[in-house]
Amino acid sequence: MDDILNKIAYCVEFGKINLQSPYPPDMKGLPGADELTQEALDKGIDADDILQKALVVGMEKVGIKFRENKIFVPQVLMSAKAMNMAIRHLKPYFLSGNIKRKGTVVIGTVAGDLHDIGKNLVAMMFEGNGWEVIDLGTDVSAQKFVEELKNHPGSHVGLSALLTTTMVNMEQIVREVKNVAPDSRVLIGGAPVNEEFKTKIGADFYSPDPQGAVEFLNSVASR
Amino acid sequence: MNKKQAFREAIEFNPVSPLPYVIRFTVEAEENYTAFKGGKFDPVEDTGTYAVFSQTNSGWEEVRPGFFRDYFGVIWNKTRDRTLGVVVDPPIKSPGFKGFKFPQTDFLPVYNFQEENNKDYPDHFHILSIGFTLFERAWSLVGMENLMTWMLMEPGFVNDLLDRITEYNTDLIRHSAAVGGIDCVRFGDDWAGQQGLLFGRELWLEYIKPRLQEMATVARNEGLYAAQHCCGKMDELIPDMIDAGIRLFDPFQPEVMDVDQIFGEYYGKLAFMGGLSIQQTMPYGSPEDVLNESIHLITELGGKGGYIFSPSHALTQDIPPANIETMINFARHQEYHLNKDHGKGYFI
Repeated sequence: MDDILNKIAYCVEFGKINLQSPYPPDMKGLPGADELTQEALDKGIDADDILQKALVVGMEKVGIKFRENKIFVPQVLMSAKAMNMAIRHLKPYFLSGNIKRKGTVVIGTVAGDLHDIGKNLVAMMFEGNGWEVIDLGTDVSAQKFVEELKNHPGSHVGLSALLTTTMVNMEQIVREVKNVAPDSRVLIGGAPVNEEFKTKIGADFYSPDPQGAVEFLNSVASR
Repeated sequence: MNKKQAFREAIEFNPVSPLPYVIRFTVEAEENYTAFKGGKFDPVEDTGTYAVFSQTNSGWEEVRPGFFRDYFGVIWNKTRDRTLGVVVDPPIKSPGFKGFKFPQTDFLPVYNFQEENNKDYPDHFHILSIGFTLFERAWSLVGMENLMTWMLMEPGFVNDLLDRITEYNTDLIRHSAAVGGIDCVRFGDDWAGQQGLLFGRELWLEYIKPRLQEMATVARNEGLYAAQHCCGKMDELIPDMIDAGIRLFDPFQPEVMDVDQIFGEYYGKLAFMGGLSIQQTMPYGSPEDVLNESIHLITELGGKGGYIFSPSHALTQDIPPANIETMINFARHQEYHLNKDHGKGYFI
């Protein structure tokens, strides 16, 4: 069992989507996350084991290597594609409750800001680490975050901003989120954001990289 | 010595006093500051900036309120950010050029801006600014995530795409040089984020450097300086960028690089423009903080040439007008201000 899970984790780590994918070049002609996940399910391996012992393991390595500037956005996107391909096979098990998510994160780029690449990377990392992600997209108002928190009680919130002119909108969102959901953790990130700003606006966590955000949420979930 | 000459002297690593400087505004910041100044403000005359820019990011057609079509036919949503905006729908959906036609460079609005600048500011250092030069042009055409994954999955197409963009850019440089009056071509491409390179040095060497070198060579052959704008933590690319023929770099962001150390390390090879913090000091500092950082930059970096004083980006709308005013007053009257007899608090 471990062998095939290790192979799936390897495919996620190195972005091998499926048999047809030419990337990475040294895995050309080999099965990818797509075929191996199906094979694992066919062999009767528990879907939750596939998530926890293959996908989460692979994405965690991706997150660490990205934080250390050993890989970059293109490689992370390939890993996310491989992970998504595997997750497609697991969808029925999520729906049936056979796989338990660690929790839910409502994520979005804050009002006034239309940039989404950083937010998307973080969302991929959360998902690959076993979190359900509600991605509200870009230019998201405080009201929209609050509505989603009401729809998904117990969720946490991830806020992104690329610009100094829009990061100020995080403060209002944090305030309104904390009003309706004081136990929700609010994580912030983006180019101009830092630890000092996090403290100033009353957010719970700042991370300069996606993996830091994942580790924080994992620590919250395990408490 | 006029502003054009002073700027040239500075980037040739010759001491110039007063130190040339560049001040630019985003659309929103210029409106705010104009209101602060009572409704009358000229961003060239009233700042005393040493450079004027003829930009390919201007002259776009407004197709509906807040939405603009660029020279390549790409529609940008500028309803939130009127200076840059974001791409609405990249025209190339799969790796190929079917249905997409690259634009010609014969008649572009930027040449008109160039002629206007030649007429209005003949004594200023004149920069042809090719916004979204190569990497950014590519992602505006195919989408950021597609470009990033196609760099790995579809290298043949990405090479073709970048070759065509490079051909467009080199044609543009030659046309612009024929119009005349410009001193420098500035390439604009953000290859990095706050924490490091977006796609790494290996892919940069493969995809960007040879084309950057080609464009810089065309500029040099036309008698123009080649400059590069790149936001983010990209300092590991500086030696390669110099090797490609770049002679002036901005925005020189102090939040992501040690400006004093990097200036010293590459002195004589690469001139720098920028350095005044646009993410921290300008929006969140006091006028005195702005003054102190400006004094540091001008005295420590500006003394022996190779440095143009400037904020590390066009000024943004979140900057208090008092900070902008302090910086402008300081830059305009730096010799007076740096005279110890006059005291530091004069302009605050």
